[in-house]
Amino acid sequence: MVDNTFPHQLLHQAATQPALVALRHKYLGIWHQQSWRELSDEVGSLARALAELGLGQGDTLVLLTYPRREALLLSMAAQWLGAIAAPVDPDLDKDTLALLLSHLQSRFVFAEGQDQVGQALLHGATRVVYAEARGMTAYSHENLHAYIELVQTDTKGVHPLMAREQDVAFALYRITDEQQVQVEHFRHVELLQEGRHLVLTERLGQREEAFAARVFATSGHLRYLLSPWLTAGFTLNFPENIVTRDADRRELGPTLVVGTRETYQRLESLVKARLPIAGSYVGRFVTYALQSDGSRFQKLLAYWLIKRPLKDVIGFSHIHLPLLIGPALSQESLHFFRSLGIHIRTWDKIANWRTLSATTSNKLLAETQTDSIKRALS
Amino acid sequence: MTAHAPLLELQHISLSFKGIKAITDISFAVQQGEICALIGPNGAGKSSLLNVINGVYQPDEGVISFNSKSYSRMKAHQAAVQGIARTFQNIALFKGMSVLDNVLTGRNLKVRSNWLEQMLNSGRAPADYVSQRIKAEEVIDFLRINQWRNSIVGTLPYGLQKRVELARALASEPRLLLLDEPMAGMNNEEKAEMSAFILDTQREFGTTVVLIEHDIGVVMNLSGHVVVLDYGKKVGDGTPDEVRHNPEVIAAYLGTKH
Repeated sequence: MVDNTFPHQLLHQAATQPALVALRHKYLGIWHQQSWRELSDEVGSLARALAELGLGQGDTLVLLTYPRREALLLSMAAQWLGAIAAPVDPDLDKDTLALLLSHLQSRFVFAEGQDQVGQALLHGATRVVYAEARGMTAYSHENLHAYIELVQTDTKGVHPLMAREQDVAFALYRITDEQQVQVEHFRHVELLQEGRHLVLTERLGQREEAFAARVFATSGHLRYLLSPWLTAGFTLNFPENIVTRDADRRELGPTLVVGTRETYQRLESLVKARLPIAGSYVGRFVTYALQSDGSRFQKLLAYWLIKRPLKDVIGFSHIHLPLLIGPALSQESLHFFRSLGIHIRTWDKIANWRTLSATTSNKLLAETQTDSIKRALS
Repeated sequence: MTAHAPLLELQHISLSFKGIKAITDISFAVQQGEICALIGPNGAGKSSLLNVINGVYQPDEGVISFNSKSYSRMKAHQAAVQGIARTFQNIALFKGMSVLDNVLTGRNLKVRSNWLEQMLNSGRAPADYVSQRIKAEEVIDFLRINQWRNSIVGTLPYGLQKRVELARALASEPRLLLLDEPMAGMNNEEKAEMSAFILDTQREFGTTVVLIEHDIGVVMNLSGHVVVLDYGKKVGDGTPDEVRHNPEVIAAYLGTKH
């Protein structure tokens, strides 16, 4: 029986299906892939390197980055050591980000590039791992470590696996309108249970190709994308970056997509932009085809001439499970997707946000605002 | 301490078109890794000087030293081989081709396979294509134009086309980059973005940049060295601060001395 933690599950997949593709990511316009064995080796090296940097049981590794494979691998390496991965959206406005980072007070940060490194150092990080080297020559390298250096560090042996199923694997943070910091903790065992439930209910297997445009964005992504990936052992695909996600999804044709209401609204508008003018002959034909409940021949014709090309616009030609997490889609949108043959399934769980002490939050807010004012004045 | 030889040095360059003097006895030096701005009113001879540097025009008199070699005449092809790349005032891209294909044209001089190998896709051609493609993609990533990689250039907004043109020039891995009004027609946001890319180019690759720009605010923030031309003659040469307080420069711009 495999222990109920993310790193244990990763090792299990590496042992049972070492050569199958675990992860695919696009870099410089080309898709690269890694097998489960290669992935677990890289996570093992990272765990060793993070341990040498001082990360240990109960520590938090802040992931100040857009979704990228390095963040996922580092989060599992941190969990290997019994630490917590805390993804933070780098697009948060400056003050909110400052408030969160001040609250987290984490010594360990994975930062995407120069901007995020600057933010991390400003808020007390003493060990910063960065992904993009651009602009980093301007910084003192004492506290900075390139991701690639961590992977290539010549480390002998494997660090003992410290993760326990009751450990917190991820912590998500948010700021309320009242400027209070809230946190939601996710234990390994709970995430994996929910992932297994999805895998069994939706009959997911190793052959699935999941698309991970926003892998840490919400609790739903952790529960219904990352956890099923590790339990079912399918392939997770990362786009080149957030702005190329639609083109990359189209290139790839995934079978599993996990999206929020905003994701599906954007996809709907992409499809609608391709539709002909409503009153025209072609427009009327398309409307007929999308609503068609005619003969089998008519349905077949509508599928090949209209539905399939439209599904291809958003990369849904091979979709098996389009998942919606978070707030519901409107009935019109659901109907629109159904007319294309895309049956969106909703999976969600009530969030369990815990407000951190108001005093702490207010004090931090005051400090952050004072810092902002000082920075502006200087 | 010995001073490094400048990457580019112009000595007494003069150029005329059918007897009309466009440039008269201009000399200045550009150090390795600096950003040098050529400024001056319209018709001052800035673009002509840029064309002399990259061999489009041959000077009547004077010598150009580039990378410690002196040339009284340098052809455009020779300049490209030596590591001089440029962009144009009016965008000169292949409008019907994709961004990627345009950037790949910047790799032409780096291609090692011959036309027969390319036609048959054999010999050195496949590996050569991969290495050229990787370099082109690195530049595309550097200038953040990944999402338009496969877009037809003619369909892109003006500011983006300027960026693609810079990408094509950078793809040739130049030692000296000549930019002819890289921010012309851009709004403030686009100018700030382009300035950042030019600075990054200098910092990350150590590329020396000579640029022509009319927005004096941008020039003063971006450049460490400014050369001022007026009626084909050099009227100022120094740091932005020195140039700003040079009475001849003030006179050239305002028409009167303060």
